[in-house]
Amino acid sequence: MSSFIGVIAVAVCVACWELPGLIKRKRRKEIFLFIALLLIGTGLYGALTLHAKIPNPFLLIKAVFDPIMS
Amino acid sequence: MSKSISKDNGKISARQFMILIILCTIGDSILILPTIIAAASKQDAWITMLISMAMGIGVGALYGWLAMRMQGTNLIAFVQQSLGNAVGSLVSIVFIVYFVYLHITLTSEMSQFMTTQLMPETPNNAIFILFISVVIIAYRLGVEAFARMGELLFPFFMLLFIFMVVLLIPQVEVDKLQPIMANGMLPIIKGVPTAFAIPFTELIVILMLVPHLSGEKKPLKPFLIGTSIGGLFLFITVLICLLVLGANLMETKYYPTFILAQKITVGNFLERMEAILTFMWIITVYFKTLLIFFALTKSLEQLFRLKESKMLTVPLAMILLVGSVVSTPNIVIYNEMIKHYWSMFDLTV
Amino acid sequence: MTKPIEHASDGTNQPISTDVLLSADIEQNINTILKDLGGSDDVIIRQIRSVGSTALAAAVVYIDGMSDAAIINTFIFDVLMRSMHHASDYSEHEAAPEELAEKLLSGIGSIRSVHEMGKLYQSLLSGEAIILLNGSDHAYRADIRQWKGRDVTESTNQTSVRGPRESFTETLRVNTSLVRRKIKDPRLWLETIAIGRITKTDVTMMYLNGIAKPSVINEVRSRLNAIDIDGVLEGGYIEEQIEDAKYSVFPTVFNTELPDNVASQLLEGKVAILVDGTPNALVVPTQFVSFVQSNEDYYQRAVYASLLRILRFISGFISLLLPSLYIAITTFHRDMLPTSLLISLAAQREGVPFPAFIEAVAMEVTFEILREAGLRMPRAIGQAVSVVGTLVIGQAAVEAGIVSAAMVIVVSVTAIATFTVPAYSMSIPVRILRFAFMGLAASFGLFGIIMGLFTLLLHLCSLRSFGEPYMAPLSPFIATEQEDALIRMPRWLYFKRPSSSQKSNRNRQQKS
Repeated sequence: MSSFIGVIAVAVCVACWELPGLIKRKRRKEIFLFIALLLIGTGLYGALTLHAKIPNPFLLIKAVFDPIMS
Repeated sequence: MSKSISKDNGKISARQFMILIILCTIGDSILILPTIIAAASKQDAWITMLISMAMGIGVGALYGWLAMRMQGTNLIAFVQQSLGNAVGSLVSIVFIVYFVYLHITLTSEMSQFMTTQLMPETPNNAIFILFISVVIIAYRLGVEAFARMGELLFPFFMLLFIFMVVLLIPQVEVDKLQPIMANGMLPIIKGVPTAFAIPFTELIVILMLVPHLSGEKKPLKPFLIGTSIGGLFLFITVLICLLVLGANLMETKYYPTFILAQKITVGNFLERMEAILTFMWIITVYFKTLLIFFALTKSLEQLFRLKESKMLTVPLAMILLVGSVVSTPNIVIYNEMIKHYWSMFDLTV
Repeated sequence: MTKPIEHASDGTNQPISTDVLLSADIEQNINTILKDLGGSDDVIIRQIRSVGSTALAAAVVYIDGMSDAAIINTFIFDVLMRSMHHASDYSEHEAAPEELAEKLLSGIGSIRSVHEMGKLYQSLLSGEAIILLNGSDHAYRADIRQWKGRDVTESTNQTSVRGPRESFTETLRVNTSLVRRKIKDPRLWLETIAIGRITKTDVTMMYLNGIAKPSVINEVRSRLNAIDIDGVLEGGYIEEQIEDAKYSVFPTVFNTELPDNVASQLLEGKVAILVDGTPNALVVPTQFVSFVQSNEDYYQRAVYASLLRILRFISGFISLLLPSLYIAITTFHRDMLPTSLLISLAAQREGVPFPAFIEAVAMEVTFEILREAGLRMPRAIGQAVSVVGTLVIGQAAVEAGIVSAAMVIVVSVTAIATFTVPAYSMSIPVRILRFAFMGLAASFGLFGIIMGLFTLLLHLCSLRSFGEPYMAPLSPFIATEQEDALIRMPRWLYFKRPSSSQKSNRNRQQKS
């Protein structure tokens, strides 16, 4: 639980640090991408700390390759 | 004719570029490659390495030629240019995914190594966070900064490497190489793909650095020399592993080079040498990771035509961390299969 | 004949505007001066009147203690009185006292005219004597400064075994002359600016024209001109304002007290900045390696100097990393030590209640306290306190069982190693970073130290000093400069000047 809060805290900090500058310079696309990635990142990391089951990305590769290999 | 919009105008010299290539080639291979090769080719692993090295230099030449054709754009921009927007973007996405996987692999290896060998009590997460923080710092400080650092650290690395090799010579037993080619060429060929793929094809990330190369110098030369030297380092490593440890030991242990370091005896200072290897290896893995991260972030920047990408670093890091953590325990065999594929894929492009 | 004036401090705080001009009436001028300076009694105003004509009057204003009163008495007054006699003989010339004055005062030398009150005050308060003439709205200033300053003595902070010992003093003119004596080339140029709204301190740039890069010179000039603060009391004020990396702990401006140091850097194409009132000179641009070099290296034999430099470099590392390494190894990586050492260390740490990190931090902080105290103590006791104090306190602490003996050794060695770095400004970042590394070592062991080193290197590699990379010649590896970076090759191998100088003027000596 505490690590979850930690993750959120870090995400908030990063947002606070980067966003004002970005908004001031009016970078629409960057803000969009930044927030998107931040949400994904926080989400994933948060889920991790809550011991949710996140699939191993290598399984994906395995799935792609097995047909090719055989 | 440069379509890269980014503001980062850092310039690297040809020599710095070459050093980055060398460090990237050695990368994580110095730690995991010997095991994999030995598993396939046993005591002929050195031949495998030799062949891979030759192929690697070939790939290096290929990349160099590609780099020349890119004329100052980075990989993604080039892809978009040559294949048109739609297809180009698709391919770029594939590359980006590739980079992500690459990055995750490397960092998993690194944290695995750290936790099993050096610092068992420290949690994986913490190690990763520390490591990636320094990577982020390097990225944010710009190309010039880490290129210079590479230039500074490389002599160190070389010295330590030579030091280690020299100290091991007394323990060399040439008959560990016998019998040569006992099983024919087949095992050797089996081992080549991985040995070739991991160090050399992953070099593609360097192509993202091309716009930063200063001057009119042809990128071909640094590529050629870089891959040769990098390959040479790896070859010597494999050779020494074989000569000192023997094929069996190499196969079974996960990190044979580490064992090598432990075997060095100078008077009474037995165990100190692991630190040396650790330092060396951290340097190479760090740079390779950094280059991959750099490639990843820059590709995103290029793909979406952003003007700056420094702020993407932390969220990216978070995602990568998750990827890295869930990937362990991973099975190394998958790695080699993948790399094989990617190398072919990349050559087609 | 000064007029007594009530010291009427009315609390207004206006700086004197520079646009106010002198009037032609000498009485008015004198009154203005008295009022502006608040009738301070070190302002001496001596007036002369001609017996014959009332319009012919002159006055000399100077600050007691800053001007050479003897010259005022013998020369200025003499000349003035004689000119009065002359003028009174030619009464039709009474409207042109300036010409008269100029002709006759030229005998004193270094006479310039001044028209604005602001400039007048600047000269007056710098120690020059002001000569007022009735009927002229220009005054004349004579540079006859003389005051008591410190003699040129041996440097206390930068001692040398072989080589010149003189160090700068607090007087700007003395310092510039010390440098001039070393470089007698007409290309040694000076530019002086008065910086500081209230202190108006004289700051001089010195450089060898043709050898120093014009871009650097211009950059220094513009940065100095951009400084807008109340006062400049020491080179440090200037350093802060003009340095590149304001947030870094590493100095990007070099400072020294020795004229020969400055001269040798000028020969390499750097720019020196001398500040009136402080014996410290600043030199820009600077590199990391300058802080490992000492002037003496150039006077000793090459092999010796090279070895010493390498030694200094290594001890710099030791002073930075030794406590951290100790913490890392004893906490995380015990198996790295030879068994016998391990056993004795373990035995020592038996009764110690604290983990290695706390021990280390406590000892280091104690040492820093002692060092700071040693600086302030009277000379006689100061030296003894710092190093011996740590050892003694350490010994007592060991016997009390609070720290282990190995810790005391580590801290002492670290402390001594810190002093080998010749430049004081570099020992500061080392001391600060040492603590950071200790923290990293305590949490992540060797890995932490390595990561910390990487971060440090990255930071150093990203620094620039006035446009030149900080880590040159190591980092953009300039092969021709290696002769003078970490080692010092014999002088007959020096062919080219470092890259900090102009490209057009690189050859130091002919290849024989």
